[in-house]
Amino acid sequence: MGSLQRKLNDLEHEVKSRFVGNEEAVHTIVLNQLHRRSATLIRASRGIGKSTLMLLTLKGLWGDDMVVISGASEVKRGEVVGRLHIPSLEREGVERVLWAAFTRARGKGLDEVNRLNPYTTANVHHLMQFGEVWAYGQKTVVEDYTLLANENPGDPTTFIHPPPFYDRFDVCVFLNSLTLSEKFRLQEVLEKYEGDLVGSMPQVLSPEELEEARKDVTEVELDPDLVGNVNLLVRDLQACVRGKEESEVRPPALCDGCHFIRDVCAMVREAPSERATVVLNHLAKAATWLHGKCTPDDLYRMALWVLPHRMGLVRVRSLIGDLYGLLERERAKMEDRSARRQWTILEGLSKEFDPTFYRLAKEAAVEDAVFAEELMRLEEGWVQEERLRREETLSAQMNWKLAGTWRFGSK
Amino acid sequence: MSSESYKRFLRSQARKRPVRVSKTSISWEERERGPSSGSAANLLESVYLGREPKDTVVVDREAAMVLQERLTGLEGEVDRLHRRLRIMKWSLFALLGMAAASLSFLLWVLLGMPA
Repeated sequence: MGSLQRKLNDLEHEVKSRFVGNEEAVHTIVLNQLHRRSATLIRASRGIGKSTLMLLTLKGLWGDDMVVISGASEVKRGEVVGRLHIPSLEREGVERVLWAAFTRARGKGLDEVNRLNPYTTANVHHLMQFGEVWAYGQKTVVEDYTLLANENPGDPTTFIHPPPFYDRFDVCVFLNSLTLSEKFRLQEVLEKYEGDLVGSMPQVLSPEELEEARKDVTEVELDPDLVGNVNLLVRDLQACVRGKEESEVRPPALCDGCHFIRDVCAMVREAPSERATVVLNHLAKAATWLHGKCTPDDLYRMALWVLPHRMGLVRVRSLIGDLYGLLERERAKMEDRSARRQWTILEGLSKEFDPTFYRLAKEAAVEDAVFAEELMRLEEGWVQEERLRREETLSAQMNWKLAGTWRFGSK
Repeated sequence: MSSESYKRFLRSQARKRPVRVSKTSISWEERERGPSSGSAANLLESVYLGREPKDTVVVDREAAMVLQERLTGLEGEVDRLHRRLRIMKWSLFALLGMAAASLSFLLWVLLGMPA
């Protein structure tokens, strides 16, 4: 283990020695710091420790170079982005902007983000999307940063922020209240640090060390199977033979009578964005760099925190519980695909058309929308090369079409 | 045009799970697999043992036959109970009728009797 990895482990250890319980959430937050402009959302009920966890992480990474703004205090644009320097305007007639400390600090905290007014949220959204902020017609580019936010969506005075804003957060971890034994531990920890958990937190990494670690992580090369798992997982939650993405009808109505009614796609109302793939890749690289490996099980565990804020389920009883069930089914589906040799068959077909391979592939495609998409893409080439008649293709027989392509008639 | 990493993924999967190709067939060795979470066994467990089923369950032929048999048995039981219920209803009406007739007769005797 290198010295940088040790530092990251130290950071996790220092946070965990002050923050009792929710170990997986803490670990995920630490992993998520290992790429540029990382953004983390912590969701929990009141008094569970979301602000404490946010402050501990920021302090451990940036020391005093951090600014926290609170959504509960009617924060205005001047405090988040910048305000006009009045003397310059009065004396010289020049509009000079004093950029807010939040814009300049590398450690950024947003407390109770659900209570931020929509105007301020739009400014933060722009910062997260483009890495810049605007005020009074002037722009400033924001350097690399770490943003941690927290919210309790059940609070009164909650603003319903737009889904694209939440999509900018790489991960969204949920915190649980403490178990009986953890409550005892918390009392001991509070006594040990004399109640000052955040004040006693040291800065574990220097900005240069964090930058170096982030650079190392980007250079990690992932195992092709793991990359495949990431892409398959997200695609399974996006794919729809009825064109859910462009349809105005949403599931469950869209799924009525659909061939794939029992598949995971039928349980997804709003599919995750491509950012889910990007973030899962980041986290997989971070885990590989930090622990030397990242297994498919690790990936599913991470997906539990990458997906909840960027997708909608058809029926929700408990978001995390339902998502866990969905991921369990995904895991079974991946195993089934491997057992059926689907990818081996597709690899053979991608090299050259073989009728026996094609027959098997068609059988598999009828039960797998994602596999069907890839097969239909190959079919187009075979039809053009006149190896296959259009009426023999899966797309013609099942009346499916590839998203974004013109549907040819089967006759 | 497929990307290089996509090709790498397919190649890696093909290497790990090879198939034997002959002139007319494709075969491979199946590894032992445990029942999937949505297997038929879970459905029977939920019916007979009262365990909570998963969101979606797949039913195989044997499990469907067991359930069909159970349904036929239950339908027969319902028919039998319906018949017994009908008989008991008529018996109850007859008993009530007899009781009313007896009461009327008793009143007639008591009120109609000369002082």
